Amino acid sequence: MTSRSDARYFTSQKKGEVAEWRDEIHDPDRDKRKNAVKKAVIAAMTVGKDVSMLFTDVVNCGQTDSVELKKLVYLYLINYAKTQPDLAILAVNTFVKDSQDPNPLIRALAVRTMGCIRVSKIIEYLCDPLHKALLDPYVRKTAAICVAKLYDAGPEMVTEHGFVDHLRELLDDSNPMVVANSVAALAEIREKSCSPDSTVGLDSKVVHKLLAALNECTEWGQVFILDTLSSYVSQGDQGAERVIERVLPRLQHANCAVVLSAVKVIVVQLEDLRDPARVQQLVRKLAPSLVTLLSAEAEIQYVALRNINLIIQKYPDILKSEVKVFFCKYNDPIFVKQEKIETILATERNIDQVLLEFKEYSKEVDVEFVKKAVQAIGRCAISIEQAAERCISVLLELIETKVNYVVQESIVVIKHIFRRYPNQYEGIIECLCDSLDTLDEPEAKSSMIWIIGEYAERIDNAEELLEAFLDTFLEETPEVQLQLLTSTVKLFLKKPATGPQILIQNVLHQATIETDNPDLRDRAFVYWRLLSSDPESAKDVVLAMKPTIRDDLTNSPQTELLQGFLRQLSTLSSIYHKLPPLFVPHDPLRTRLLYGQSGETKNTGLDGSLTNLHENQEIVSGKKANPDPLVDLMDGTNLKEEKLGNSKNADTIQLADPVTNEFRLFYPSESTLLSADKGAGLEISGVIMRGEDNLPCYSLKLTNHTSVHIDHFQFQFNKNSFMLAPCSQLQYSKVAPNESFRCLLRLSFSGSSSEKTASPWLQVAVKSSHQCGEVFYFNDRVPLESVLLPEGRLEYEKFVQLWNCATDEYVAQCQMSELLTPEAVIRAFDSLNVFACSPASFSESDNSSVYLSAKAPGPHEEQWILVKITFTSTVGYLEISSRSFIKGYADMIYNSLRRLLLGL
Amino acid sequence: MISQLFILSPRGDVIIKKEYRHDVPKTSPETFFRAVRFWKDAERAPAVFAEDGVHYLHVKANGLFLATTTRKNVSPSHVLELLHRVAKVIKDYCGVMNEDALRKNSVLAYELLDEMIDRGYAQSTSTEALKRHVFNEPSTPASSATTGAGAAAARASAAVKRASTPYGVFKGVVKAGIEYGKEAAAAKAAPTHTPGGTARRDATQRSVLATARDKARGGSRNEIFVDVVEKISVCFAASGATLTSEVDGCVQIRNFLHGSPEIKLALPEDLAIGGRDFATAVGGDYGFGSGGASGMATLLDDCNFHESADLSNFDVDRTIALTPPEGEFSLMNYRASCDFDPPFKVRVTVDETTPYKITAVITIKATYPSKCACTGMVVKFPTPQRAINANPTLEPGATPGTQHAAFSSQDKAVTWQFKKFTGGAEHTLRVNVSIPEERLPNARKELGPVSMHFTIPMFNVSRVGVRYLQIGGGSSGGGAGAGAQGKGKGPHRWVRYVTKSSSYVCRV
Repeated sequence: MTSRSDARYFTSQKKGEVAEWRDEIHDPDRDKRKNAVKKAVIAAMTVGKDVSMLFTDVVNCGQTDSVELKKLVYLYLINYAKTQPDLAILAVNTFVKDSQDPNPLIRALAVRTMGCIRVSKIIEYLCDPLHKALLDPYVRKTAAICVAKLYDAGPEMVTEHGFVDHLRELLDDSNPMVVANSVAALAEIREKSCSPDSTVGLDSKVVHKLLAALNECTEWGQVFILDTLSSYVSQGDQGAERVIERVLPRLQHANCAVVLSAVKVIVVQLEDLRDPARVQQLVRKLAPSLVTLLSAEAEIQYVALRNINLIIQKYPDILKSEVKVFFCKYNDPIFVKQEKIETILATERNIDQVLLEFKEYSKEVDVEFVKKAVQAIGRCAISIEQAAERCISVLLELIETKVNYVVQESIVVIKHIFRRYPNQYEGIIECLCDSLDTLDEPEAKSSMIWIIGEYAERIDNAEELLEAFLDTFLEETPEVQLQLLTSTVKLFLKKPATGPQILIQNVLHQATIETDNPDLRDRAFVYWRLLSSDPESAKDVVLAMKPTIRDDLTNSPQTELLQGFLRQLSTLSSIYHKLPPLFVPHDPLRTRLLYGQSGETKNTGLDGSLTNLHENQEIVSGKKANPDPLVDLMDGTNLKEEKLGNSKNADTIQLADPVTNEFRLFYPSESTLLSADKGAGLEISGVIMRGEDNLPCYSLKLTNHTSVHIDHFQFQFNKNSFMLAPCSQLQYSKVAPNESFRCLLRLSFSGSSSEKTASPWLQVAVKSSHQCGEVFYFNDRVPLESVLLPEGRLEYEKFVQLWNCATDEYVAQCQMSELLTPEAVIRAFDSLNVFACSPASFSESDNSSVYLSAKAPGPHEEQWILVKITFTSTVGYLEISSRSFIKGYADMIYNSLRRLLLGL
Repeated sequence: MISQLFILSPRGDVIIKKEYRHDVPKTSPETFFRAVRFWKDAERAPAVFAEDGVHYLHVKANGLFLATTTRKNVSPSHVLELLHRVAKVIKDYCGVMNEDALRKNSVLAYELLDEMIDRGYAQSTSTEALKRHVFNEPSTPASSATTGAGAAAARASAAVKRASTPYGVFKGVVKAGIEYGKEAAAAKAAPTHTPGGTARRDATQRSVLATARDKARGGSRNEIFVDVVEKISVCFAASGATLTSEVDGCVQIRNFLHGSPEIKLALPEDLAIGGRDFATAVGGDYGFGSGGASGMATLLDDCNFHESADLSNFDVDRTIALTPPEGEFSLMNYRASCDFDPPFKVRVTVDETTPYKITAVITIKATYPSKCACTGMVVKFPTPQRAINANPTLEPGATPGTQHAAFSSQDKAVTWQFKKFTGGAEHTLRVNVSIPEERLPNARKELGPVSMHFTIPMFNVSRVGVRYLQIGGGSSGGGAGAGAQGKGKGPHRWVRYVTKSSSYVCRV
């Protein structure tokens, strides 16, 4: 029964439904009223139907004593207040009244909702109730969060009213929820404020308070407190010890978030402990809790594993005896399995067990997983010398299976083993060569080619093998090509016979003439020059001793980076293994904490994956072994740009509206058009902008530097691309000597047009009564956005169609402010007659691009201007490409957008 | 510090969406769903990933996606745990957590979310505490109020079906009384179709609010369920030796008691928690951890407790006092990897001597006592990908209808099912796999592993048990106090045990 009547809410196309609801909302019967509001809310939230026209009616309902109805009304209000800011004011009365209600629930509700409504007018009324609200527990806890909301909207109000001090007092509160929320709110304010320490310094007194509150707090509160504590730098041994002692019991909490946050606090504090024995003792206490996290839900396991991965890099002993817990269960989701493999830490003692396990994994179906397993075997071989032989025999077994991807991955791994233990295991090369034909992945191919080149003197048919690869030289990826080139040179140097000589000529020819990869060409030229000038020194260079690679876990050189990660345990940073500045937009506090003054560690932060074998090898073995320096080069530049972007951000933030923290457009500013000396005492400055009637108008400032009145101004425009013409004159305006006069000259599109190409320039002639009929001329650049027509909206399909046949194009990249999001852009441009069109189906686009269309005035049929703004994944950059049918517009719109968005 | 929370149906429709910070694009649900759906190579997307500077954290509950977005460097465990909690609370309130129930109760769900999360900060997530602030009433999706022969039959069959799914174990199966509640056990242990069975099914799917309402009408059940659930992971080597064995246990409570009385739960006195000096956690001295001492029968590696648990007596006599919040929660989670007897011993012998054929013999022996029985066991045995056919043969004396084995050429696997596997019994299956060549070089590598799915009610492998369960903290006495299950008087106490397989495999 109920289900049938409910189902009606979802089919909302009935005519007059809204009117029906409106009647019901005014019904004297409370239940009926409630149901009507409920229907409206459901329609709005679940079906997405627009019921904003009921705003007044619903708001009136708010004055009721039924909490249920009130909640519904508030839910509705949050939904629509943004779009109806003027009407939202109507609700202020209800809010103010409710915030004085005897029922704390209603008071809290009012404060909470007011904070959520992001209308500046409402915020003004928030302070008073907020003051009162901070008096009652349930209301207090809601109000504490509300202070953070207020800080978002108007930080100066928070300071003015002393809310931060209020919050700090709340840390002493008897109610644990209140403490928790105050901590959270303070943390947020601290993060946002520019001078964090002055607002909420974490001194030992505050820490003491927090530690005391820890035991009493709700689980979530404990998380807030622990997260705050983790940024506390204790004063020496004693302080650290005290914090650790209080936090240790939290390891036993059932809530995984509490456990991980506690682990983080302890790990951070351990840095300050000097006694290594004590550190060991404490670290050992972490182990059981960390293992227990692996029995939680798969998602939590994933998080735990990523964190454990970091912890064991610092304290490799901690889970030594527990290696079994990282063995994969067959029903683990794939992302957990992959992490487990990464985390398994083999030691001499358990290596046999671990190898057996890895071998088992390499039989699984999932390709990625199998590859990881093979890589893990390689890692064992590299880190434990005694086990290398056993690892190799396992790898050979795997190669015998002839499963393609296993073979390929094994070869890559064996190459690494060769580099770790040169000249020890080349007996197995023969087996490798058997599977040569099956290789199709570039990495496996180049590894194999590297092996052939490196051990050319020991492989009888090395020449044949390389020749087989060279046949398809031009089709290979650059990675393989580079390796082929180097290996052939090695072969030639080791066996300078005729066969290799032909080979080398062949490969040098192909690399220098037939490819257009500059990197390959350059390397080939270097070799060529070397070989032709001095083959002996070529030998010294090409066949030089290579440093052996090291295991990356036990000798991790990146301790500073690792330390940075440990400070980020239990945050997203620990999941991505990237430091926050690389993925969290402007986080000034954290950046400073991490980098101190030097900023030295930034380079290492680019690729955070510490456990990535290849990365480290590349670093250690230098350029030579790097299969593709080009990629490396690109990475380097990206980094620079990123850094640049970050430093720029600090400036661009200032440009944002300080109150709403939202993105603001940069409108063109007035410029001097006619200087006084050119205009015989008349100075004109101004700008073309959009007037009230949505038509362009000239905002002018006329300054009279002569000694007489000037009046009877007349303006004339030359032919221009937009057919602009003044539609009135300033005949009756009068400017007194040495005075300025501001006026608006209304414009219309009734002039005549210039031809063919579009140009932003507008030539203006001005004449006034008092200047002997002399005419002055000046040029002005018309800001394109001021003259765009309101009918510029396009359907997406049409957009695509036009986009593809447009004749003029302009593409450029520029830096942007952090506040710039696709939404902000769309919102800001709508009022400028630049319209966004979104694709009907999402598969056609990704939401990082915004498509804009506009129509320029002019005589032609096709005045369409099309823009695509792409927010690149590199933080701080966007790409603007614009197209049009008339030459000039694409360029013009680009300049306009750049100025509007970036103020350039 | 999350920015949005949304719940998506399995098809990606937005059911619930709540904005907290307005700093994330409105299209985020679509972005999220696309990312999850088309994650590289059909792998399952990890719980945390970033897309265009927005971080998406999600969990799956009952096929629904619960996801949040944020731009901050949040604590992922915090967010994911919160999501699990949200799912649990919604289930507590709506009875079930599915698309239908959510759509029907969307206003309630929004109200709950409002109270649970404010500006992206977790507030209160306990069902009990929320009750004071939540006013909407749930409307149940199924017609639980209507009673009719048809509905009852449908429900019964649903219960039967559910009994075979891993989550439905309690729903219709058995109520396991320990030694004391003998008559009760006899009465309740009857199979699904008795009224008792359906009543309990309702209990698991009912809203916590129902208690309050029923109470008003005077017809509610004043009862509490204590379930000791153990999930075991065992891995046997081809030789039959146990490679790994691990128990993940949990004392789960579903509380429908009236008047929120205090309860006291006693665990075995010889319970030892090794690996961790538990004493420091409670504030005592270092040195409890002498877990290896003689006479310690039950050794746990680690355990943790719900926040409502008062552990002041736990060190003394292993009792936990608490005022349980209403609804479902886990009082205690524990983990044991000590050597316990796996409930099933599995051996596989493979014979590759005959050309064009591989013969595998799988032997499973149940080691648990014969009074227990495992229901709905499924054994899976993958054959080599290139196998042409496989022919499973049951043991000669097998009673028809009690077990069944078949080869699916699509999955290339043999599935062997049992209706019932009694304790102490031993069964074998011979599988003849036909292969295209005389010898398949890696056939043995591609065989197996044998994986088993099972549920054994009334049995647990670790010896964690409930000594007694006292309600009201009153004078009714300790010892076998829980045996005083009044006939119609006083609250009903159900203590149940179950062992489930988590990952139970035997390598070949």
